[in-house]
This record gives sequence, structure tokens and C-alpha cells, in this order.
Amino acid sequence: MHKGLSATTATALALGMAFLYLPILVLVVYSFNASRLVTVWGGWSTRWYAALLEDAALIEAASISLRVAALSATVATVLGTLAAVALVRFGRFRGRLVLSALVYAPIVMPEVITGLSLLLLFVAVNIDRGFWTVTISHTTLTMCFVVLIVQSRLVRFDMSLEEAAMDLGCPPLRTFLTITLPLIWPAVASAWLLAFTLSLDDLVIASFTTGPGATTLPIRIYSDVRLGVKPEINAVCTLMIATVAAALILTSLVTKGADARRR
Amino acid sequence: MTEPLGADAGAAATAGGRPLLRFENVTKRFGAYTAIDRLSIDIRQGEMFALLGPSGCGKSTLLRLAAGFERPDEGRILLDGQDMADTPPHLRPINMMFQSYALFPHMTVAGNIAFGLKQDGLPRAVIAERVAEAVALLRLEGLEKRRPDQLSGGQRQRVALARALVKRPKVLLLDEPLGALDKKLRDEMQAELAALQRRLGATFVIVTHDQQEALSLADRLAVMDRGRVAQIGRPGEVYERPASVYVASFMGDVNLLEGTVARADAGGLQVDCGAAGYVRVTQPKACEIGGRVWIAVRPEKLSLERARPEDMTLNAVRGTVEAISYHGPTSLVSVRTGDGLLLRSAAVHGAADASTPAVGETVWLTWAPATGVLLDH
Repeated sequence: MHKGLSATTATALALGMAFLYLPILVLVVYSFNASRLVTVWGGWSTRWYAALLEDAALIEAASISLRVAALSATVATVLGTLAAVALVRFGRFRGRLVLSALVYAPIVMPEVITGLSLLLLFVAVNIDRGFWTVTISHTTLTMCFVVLIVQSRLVRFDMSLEEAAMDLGCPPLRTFLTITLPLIWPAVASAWLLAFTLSLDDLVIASFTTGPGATTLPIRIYSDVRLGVKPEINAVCTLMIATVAAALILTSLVTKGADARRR
Repeated sequence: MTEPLGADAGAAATAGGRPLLRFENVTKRFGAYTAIDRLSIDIRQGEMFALLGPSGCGKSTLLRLAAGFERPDEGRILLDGQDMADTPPHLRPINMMFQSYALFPHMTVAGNIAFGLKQDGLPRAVIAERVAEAVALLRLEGLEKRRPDQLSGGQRQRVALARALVKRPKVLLLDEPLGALDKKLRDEMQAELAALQRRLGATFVIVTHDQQEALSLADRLAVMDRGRVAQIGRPGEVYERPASVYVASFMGDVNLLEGTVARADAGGLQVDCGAAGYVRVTQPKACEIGGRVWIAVRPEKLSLERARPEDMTLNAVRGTVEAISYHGPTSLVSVRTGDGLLLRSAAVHGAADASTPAVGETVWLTWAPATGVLLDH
């Protein structure tokens, strides 16, 4: 749509991109460094990726992170979609304003506070901290983002489609499942992917709410790095970047595809 | 402007139909705004009934009340004698064609049409048969596998109609069904819709703001005004004998003369219209001598003459041609009378006596006393 870039905009763009991605690029390049010393370039190698496979603790952490992310994203997507439907569909019910304010609050709440309050709750009700408490906490964290995304789609949703379905004899719940959900699924899918990456990224809340045997990948990396940066860490971080990037690209493809179909 | 009396032809067959859909003193409010105000209408079995009115008159709300998307605050809606108050939309034997068509974008044409039948849990073979029937009825052959966004406006309109008809509802509600089509397609579909309704013998309730559409389609129509019925009747009755100034002016172009009833006799009334002179009206209507009234006369009832006509039983007003607007088959001639009143006459081109006068010419406008309608002030 543009006829090339002028020299000024190209420079500005290059500087901006460098500011954003140079640190990541350095990390990715150094993950292929043959040298054991992180600061010395020793030629290209994939040995640290091979070494990763040997590192049982890191692999365990990655597996926990992925399971927490998948589970919490799924629960958050279900709950968040239902909350969005309630907020958009049922008009001005008693407590609507309060509910919407409460749903958005965790977005602006400092993560330290969310983490601490969750920790206090888990201690108060005396739950053993571990996999499930991290999963619950991440559901809390990511649900508000799901609500935001699904709600913005539902606001644009043509209500007469649901009315037409009911008019043709379809009960309300089946209408939601056969008409509404198939039409808003790109928003629901991107909400899930966002929730997934948010959970995968989270260090602060996880470190408050986790317990023995449930060390997530960010916690593992953080504690390893405190003892000095190992080349394996660069490799594992590169893999995480790849996962998150893949999720983000998938999200934009899903939304773009849906928009193209809607025209 | 032609004589609309021909539109009455189809009404004879349905005049005796029993009431199928009945609104009884229905009131619907949205907050402080009253959309429907103690309205009662009987819609008869097998008729094409039009709800006509400007936007905001409540006609679409009435349709949504019948479909069950809105609940009346007061009054009852009866279908076949049964109160519909506690029947949710999906259990009502009423189907609706939406103004936006509301076709499901993620389903094919066949999928859209079959949707309602699937909800009834009919066997697959029956569904296929009924869909094929509907496809043939609305000439959608070859489009079954297309999605709504691959259809033209006219095709979408027919799919929406097929989808609403395929369940054989007791009442079919149509919300501005032809509103989104261009003029030529609209005229075609109007004829097709009328033919379809006659063929199926179904009860259609059609909402429209287009008086021409209502006149040519409906067996009976209700003109609505701010949530109330201004007049119900056959198209010819409503057009020729409007019950109020509102109906007269909504149902097309009309000349309104204000006057005082001067004399009543066996031949009708004499109304003193000031500078326009005495105007005779033969319409039987109880009027007090001295009462203020309106006389409504359609432009096509006024003839233009260059000289005062011999026939003294006609009403005649003298004036100057102020403007002529050309409409193809007719021209609308605006004539300013001595006291500043502007009257319009529709001159048919090609009629033997009609040589359209020029702007600035002095002419006489004449009309038979029987064509004027006396309306309350």
C-alpha cells in the first residue's frame, strides 16, 4: 500500500526495531556460540541445544510451564468468554458496572500485589502450593485479557443472527454453540493464545504461588542466571522466544484470516 | 399516479378469514419512551397484511413482539387464540425475515435454509426434500453450496425468504423485506412476493415505510402513527378514504384545503374555503355547521382546464401555474391560487385532453365533489 519508504522513515524504523529486538538478537546469536564463555564468540554450534536435552531440571521446568500455560489458558478462556457474554449480552443487570471494573482490575494491578494476595489466600485456606496454585493464579491473571478480547468481538456481533437462529427454533444455549461461537472463534482462539503466552512468560506471580516440585521455566532460568549465565540458558531462552513468537504469529494469522472472510 | 383500486382484487378471497394473529391492547415501553401504545390489530388467516408508517412509528417493534424478541408491558398477543406471553421465540410457530436478512455467514445457502428444519429434528431425507422444494420455489438452483458473502443482494433476499418459509410457519413476518434492493429489483420481488403468498395461502405480515409497496402488496394494511393505529383497511379504502390528515398525507401526495362548513343538504356539504371559494363535498359525514374541517383531494383527481368549466357541479379554483415537475408517465403541476394556496395536479401524458400548460399560465383546477374527503381539523 505504500510506495517504498523514504530515507528518514527507514532510519527511524531501523532504530526503533533495533531498540526493541537487538537484545533478543544478541541472545539468539549467542545461543549458537560454541564457546562456554558467554562473552566470548567461539564460532557457530548447536551444542548447547544438545546439552539442553541432558539437563533434566530444565526440561522438567519447561514441561511444567507448558502444562500450566495450556491448562490455565483453557480455563481462563472458558471463564473469560462467559464473563464477556454476560457483560455484553445481558444489558444493564444489577452489578454490571462493578463486574466489569473487577474484571479489568488485574490488568492494572502490579503483579507483585496480585502474587502476594494470591499467596496469602492460598496460605489462609491452607492449600499446598505447587502446580495447581500456579495454574489458578495464572487463570486469574489471564482471564481479564480474555474478557477484553472476546468482549470487543461480541460488541460488533450482529445480534439479529442469534435472533434469527432462535426464531428458526434453536434454543438459546444451542444458538450460542452453533451460531455465536463459530463466528467469534478467531477472537476466542487469539484470547487463548495470548493467555498461553502470558502464562508462559510470568515470573513474578509464579514465584509467589509455586511450591516444591512445581518450578516453572522462568523461575528456573532466573535462579540459574543468579549463579552466572550458562550457555544452555541462551538456548532455552531462544526456544521460548520461538514458542511465543509462533503463538503471536498464529494469533495474527487467525484474526487476519477471519477479517478477510468477513471483508 | 394511477387508480389504485385494482389493488383490492385479491382482498375478496381473504375478507372472511378468521383472525389468526391478534394484538389486544398491547403496550410496549422502552424506558420512558412508549413504542406501542394500547394497540389492537387482528390479522386474518391467509392475508397479506402490511404495517405501514414512518421510521419510529413502532411497526418493527410490533413485529419483534410477535416474534417474541420483546415482551409486551401490557396487553396480550394471541396466535390462533393462544396467549403467546410465555412462549419463547424458538417455540413460536412464527418465522421472521430480518431486514438485514441475518443469514448465517458460516453456513452455505443450503445450510441456512435447512437450519430451521434441523432444529425440529426432522429426518435427513425430509430435510433434503424440503430444502430442495424451497430452493426451487425461490429459484436458487445452483447456489446451494455458496456462502452468503458470495451472493448478490437479490439472491440473499431470496435465501432469507426461503429460510423463513421452509418451516411453513403459521405467520411469516417480513421486516422491510425489499428495503435493501434497488428500484427495479424491488418491483420484481414485489410481484414475486405477492404471487408466492397467494400460492402458499400463508399469512404474511410485512413491515414497510414505502406506501407504494404497501398499496400494491397488501390485502389489508394498518397505517401507524407513534405506536398507535391511525387507520386499518384495504389499500383502496385507506388511499381513497383516509381517516385523518396524517393518513392522507402519509399515503401519498395530497392537497389539503382548510375551511368552515357552511351548508349541509341532501347533495352533501358546502365548505367555505376562503379565497378558494365554496367547495362541495358529497362524502357522508356528520358535521356541524360552522365547524372547521380539512378537505383532502389527491392530485390525480384534479383536472387542469384553461377556461372555467361549464359543468357547475364540479368544484373549480383558479390559479397560476408555478412549477411543473416531470415524472415520466405524468407531470405534477403546481398551481398557486389567489390567496397563496399551492395545489398540485397530476397530468397524465398522452391523454387526449392533456396538453400540459406552461409556467405562468392561468388555469382552472376542477374536481368532482365525490373525490374530496372531509377530515376533522
